[in-house]
Amino acid sequence: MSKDNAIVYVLDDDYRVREALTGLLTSVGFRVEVFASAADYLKFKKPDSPACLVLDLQLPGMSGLDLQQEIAGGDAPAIVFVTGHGDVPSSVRAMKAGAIEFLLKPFDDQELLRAIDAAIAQDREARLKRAELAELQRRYALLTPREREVLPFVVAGLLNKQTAAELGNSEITIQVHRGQIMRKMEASSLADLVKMAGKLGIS
Amino acid sequence: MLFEKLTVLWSTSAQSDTMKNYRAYRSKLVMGKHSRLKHYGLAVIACAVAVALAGPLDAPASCFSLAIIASSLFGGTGPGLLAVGLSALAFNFLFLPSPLSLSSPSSHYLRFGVFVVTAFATSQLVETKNRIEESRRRIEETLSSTQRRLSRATQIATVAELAASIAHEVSQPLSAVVANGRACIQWLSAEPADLANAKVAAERIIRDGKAAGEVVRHMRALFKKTALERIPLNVNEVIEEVLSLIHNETVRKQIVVETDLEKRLPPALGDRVQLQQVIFNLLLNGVEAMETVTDRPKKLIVRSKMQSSDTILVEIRDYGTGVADSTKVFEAFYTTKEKGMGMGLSVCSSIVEAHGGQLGISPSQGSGTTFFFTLPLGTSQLE
Repeated sequence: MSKDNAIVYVLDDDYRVREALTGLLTSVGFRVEVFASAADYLKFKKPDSPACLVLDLQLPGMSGLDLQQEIAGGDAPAIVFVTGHGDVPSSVRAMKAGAIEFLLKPFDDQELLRAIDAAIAQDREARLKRAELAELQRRYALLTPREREVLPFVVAGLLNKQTAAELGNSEITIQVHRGQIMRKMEASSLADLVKMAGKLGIS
Repeated sequence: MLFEKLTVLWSTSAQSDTMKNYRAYRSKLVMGKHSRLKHYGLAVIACAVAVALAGPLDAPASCFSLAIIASSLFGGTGPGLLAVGLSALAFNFLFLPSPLSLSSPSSHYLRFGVFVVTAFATSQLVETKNRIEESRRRIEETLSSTQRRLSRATQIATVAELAASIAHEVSQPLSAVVANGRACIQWLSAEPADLANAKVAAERIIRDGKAAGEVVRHMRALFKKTALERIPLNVNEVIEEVLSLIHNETVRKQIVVETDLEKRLPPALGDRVQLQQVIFNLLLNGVEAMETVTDRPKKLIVRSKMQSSDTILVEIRDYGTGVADSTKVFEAFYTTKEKGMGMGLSVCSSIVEAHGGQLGISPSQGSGTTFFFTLPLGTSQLE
């Protein structure tokens, strides 16, 4: 029984809940790592596989919401909040910050499993996107400064002649830069290059 | 929802209180008829004794006065006046040189008149004293019943504040039960079934179910309305029960709770629920006092120890904003809280005093407040 190496991190200060979730999630085939505090979770070296974080809202020290804010942005897994104190402001804050689900204790096991599946699916997709972006950035890094200058004009649809006039170069030089860009970025067509530039945030 | 139920619970118990009072009143009335006859009899006997003693002692006025005092004191107005009448007759016929007639000298009239007036005044004075005592007793009764109700009302208010926290204490083990139950089914339906893991899950279900039941039991004890009990209590246990109930509240507010409990604490005599209420209130005050604190760690320290060979001391220290006037805080309706009623500490104080102890503030080093209360040991005399 394995769910494609997916890991579920469980962060709850109550050992009974940690034990129970370990049992439940192991029995349905997840790899489970449990933590009693945000600090322990942050210290843990996370393997490179799709994951999900089941996070208690109230924790001693750093609260669940604080942790969510702290790890936001990086390669943090999707979060499923569970809490015994479901006040509206915290749930709104959690969902706005991108949580998958906000479950009240005592939670329904099926609901929790559904939320975890959804979170892992989202994390898997996010990882793919991040990997793709990392690859594009690697390719972009190969471009010379001059080629990076030329790229925006190319993707904006300017002719070589127009670009040459803008940058004060000969048309033939731009032609060479353009060929290098297409090769280094591994673009199969101009349309492809435009898409890549969009993902890199160049326009 | 929970609070509504509590209010209903409370009002029904208040109704049964009224019924009880009514029954007591009825039985007093029935009993009255028998005892009133008895009291008149007593007046007659007292006068007879006075007549018997007055001759040999040659002190009729003193003997009759005593009889009148006794009759008024124990019998009330009617028997008192009866004694006045009987002694006036006896005095007239037995102790005046000749019974009063038109030809009697005026000195006899004067003597008889003085006797009657003195007798009547005596009975009235005693009666007045009786009445004053009666009304004082009634005032005291009303006062103590009001205090009981007030303490009950604050108890409910305090607990209602923490109803959410208690709900969390129950939902925690329940979450675990649900997850363990599902895990158990998963292990059993695997091919082949994983009996060892299923057994572990089932055992956890039992354990957590019991834990949830325990929380419910504690909660029920908090709400239960019983007459004051005086049973030997382990004060540390009481402290820990309350701490378990507010555990979530403190975690939520990121407060560290430290305990320093004397391990071999002898039992104290007291009412578990009321002492829980006192500790509850003091802890809650500490929690609230630290609400606005940001520049230092939020910490509550609960300490129990022997103060002397026959007194237990419990201290609750917070690192909150402190109190400005440490004498005023125990007064009723004095409050520093926006939504406070100003009853918490004054109720705590009367509870502790009823246990023969003392509630107070001791000076603390640095910021915050230290509340303490003392309790006499189980063996010593209680009021």
